[in-house]
Amino acid sequence: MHFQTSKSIFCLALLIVLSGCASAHKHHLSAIAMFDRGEASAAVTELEKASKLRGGEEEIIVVDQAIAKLMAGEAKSCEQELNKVRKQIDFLRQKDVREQATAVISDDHAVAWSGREFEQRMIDNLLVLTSLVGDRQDAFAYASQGMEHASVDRQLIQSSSANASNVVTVGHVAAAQPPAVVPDRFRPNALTAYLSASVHSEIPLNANITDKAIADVQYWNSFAGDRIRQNNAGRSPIMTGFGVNSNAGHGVVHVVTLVGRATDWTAETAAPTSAALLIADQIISAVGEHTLPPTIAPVKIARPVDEQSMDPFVTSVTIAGQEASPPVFSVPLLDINQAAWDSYQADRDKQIARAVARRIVKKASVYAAKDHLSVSNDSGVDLLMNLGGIAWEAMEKPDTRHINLLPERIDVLQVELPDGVHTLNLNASLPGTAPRSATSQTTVSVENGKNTFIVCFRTGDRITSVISR
Amino acid sequence: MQKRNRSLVIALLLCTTAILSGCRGKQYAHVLSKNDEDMVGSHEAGAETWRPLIDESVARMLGRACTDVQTVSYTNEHGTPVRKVCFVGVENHSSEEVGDFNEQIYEHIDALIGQSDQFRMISRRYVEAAMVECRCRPDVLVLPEKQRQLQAALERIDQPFDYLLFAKITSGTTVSNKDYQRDYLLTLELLDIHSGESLKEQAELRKGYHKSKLAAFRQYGR
Repeated sequence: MHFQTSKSIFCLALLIVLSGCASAHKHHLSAIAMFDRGEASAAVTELEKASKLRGGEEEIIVVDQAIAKLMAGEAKSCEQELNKVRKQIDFLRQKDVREQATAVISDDHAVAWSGREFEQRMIDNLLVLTSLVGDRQDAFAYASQGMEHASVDRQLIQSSSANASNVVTVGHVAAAQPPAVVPDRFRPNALTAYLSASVHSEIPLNANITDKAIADVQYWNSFAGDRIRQNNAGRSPIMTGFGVNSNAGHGVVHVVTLVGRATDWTAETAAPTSAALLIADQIISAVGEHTLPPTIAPVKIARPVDEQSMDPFVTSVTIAGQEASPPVFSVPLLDINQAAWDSYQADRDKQIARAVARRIVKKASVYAAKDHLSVSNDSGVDLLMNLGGIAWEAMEKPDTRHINLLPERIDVLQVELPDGVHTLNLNASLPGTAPRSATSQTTVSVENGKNTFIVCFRTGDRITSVISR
Repeated sequence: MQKRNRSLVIALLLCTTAILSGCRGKQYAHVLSKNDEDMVGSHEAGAETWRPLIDESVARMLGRACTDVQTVSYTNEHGTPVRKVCFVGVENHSSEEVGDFNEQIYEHIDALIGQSDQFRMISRRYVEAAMVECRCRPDVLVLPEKQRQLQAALERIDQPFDYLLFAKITSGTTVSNKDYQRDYLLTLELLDIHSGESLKEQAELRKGYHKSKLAAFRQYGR
């Protein structure tokens, strides 16, 4: 009787939890659809509902909510949310014994989400950007923090390329020397350097820091590859005058376009590679006295759906009253889909290794249980235990958690304008062609030697939101 | 016996996982007292490097200022000649990012030199506003035309100057297998805009970077 009551309570609790998760997921999905349609305020409301229902991936919802708030023009609120979530992510990035142990017997979802490296860098970048379109109070600090991360990434790349070539570098190291290969997952540092250059360029005494940051944009962007260079043929370069580098009596308007939505992640059935088996062997040697079987069936891992941004459009700007003059077109600064793809490739073997190690631990546990209970091979209990083992393995899900509302690409353009108030017409168009979308107008106040930021959200050839200070 | 072995294996498994994974801890901070030593940057220069470099270079500069013949357009109430100085920033030509120390280095130098009764530093706010107005960069201020523009811009706001002060950070790296020594040099250069003569003082600090304590011991015996 007592057992039955407990069972009923357990089932009821499970039902409540599961229905809560499903409902939160539904709200999250509808918020994403609203975001795509440009209904920012409605998306914020839906995400608020989702955050009340779900506890597990709260940080993802908060970041998505912050991005939706930026789209809705609530820069200050976006900055506060991002700041809070960044601290939480810093905490969650540390390893936790309980979670690691649970992940071995369940799946990677047992480990609290703290974002992939490129997602963490994008949170840092969004903080600078929101501050620049907001009150600017902490833009300098955010930019400095971002550049510190970029510096660490550079050291990592340089040391790994030095190790790969087995050459010892002697003497003074030039700061902006491009290494042989700079992986795509570090691409968000191009935006970090761009924003840092704009922050420092307003301070004439920091001219050399500005120069260094501008050189850094090229450094991190140089690996964007031929695709961006081909696209840029005949178009404005990524960087023009910044801040006090503009003509006397002028300021610079930067239009930062957040294009579309970053790639979703899906499950991939991957055959274990030799490198993955080596890592798996290390994991299972550490957690018990198991050994790797000679053959292992493919395992499920997470993979981005798209390898790169396929959006063909650019943002174009004309000045109201000067429509006869040619528009200025945006250029891609970073492709987040490529960063995601590279991040997946860099982590692929480790993902497979974790899945293989999990499978071995699970199989070993089932066999150990059978041995312990002395279950004979042809018995019904044996069949049941085998089925249980299969179900246990089948319950595993690849870790496809990601920030849903990050853009797939970030495009930038700069317009140098005289000191004063100006109205800008923003359109989406194919490079070098006439506008395809309805014109979005925004008014900005340009100050002598200063940078003014406009954040533009664009989905395909439709501008969904324009935020300016 | 078998049961005991299994328990042992489980205990070992848990311990290994704990050691390999570590624990998630909250960050901790504390206030340093005056007697506490500065933390030593393990990968790049920090307070332990910049503070002594600033103190030494400024002290040398002030020492030289007492003895050298000087061009001034202003004396204080005791008849002491006072150099009016426009400090145009810290240039980083080292192989390291200076990061947020850049602003601190400027402020420290500005404040320390400003404390001397032989120098009058023009407020950074005036300097920046004038540089924005004439679109001057520190590195082009040696050009007479740019100098005149800056001078004119500062004179318009009643802040004339006799000297330009440049601060420059450089580094030199010597690599020995996986260890390296980096020499940091902070140079202060006081440029007389009337005569074109410059007064230069510098301070140096050397730091050894090692992959392990043992490597440091092998190199320096400590």
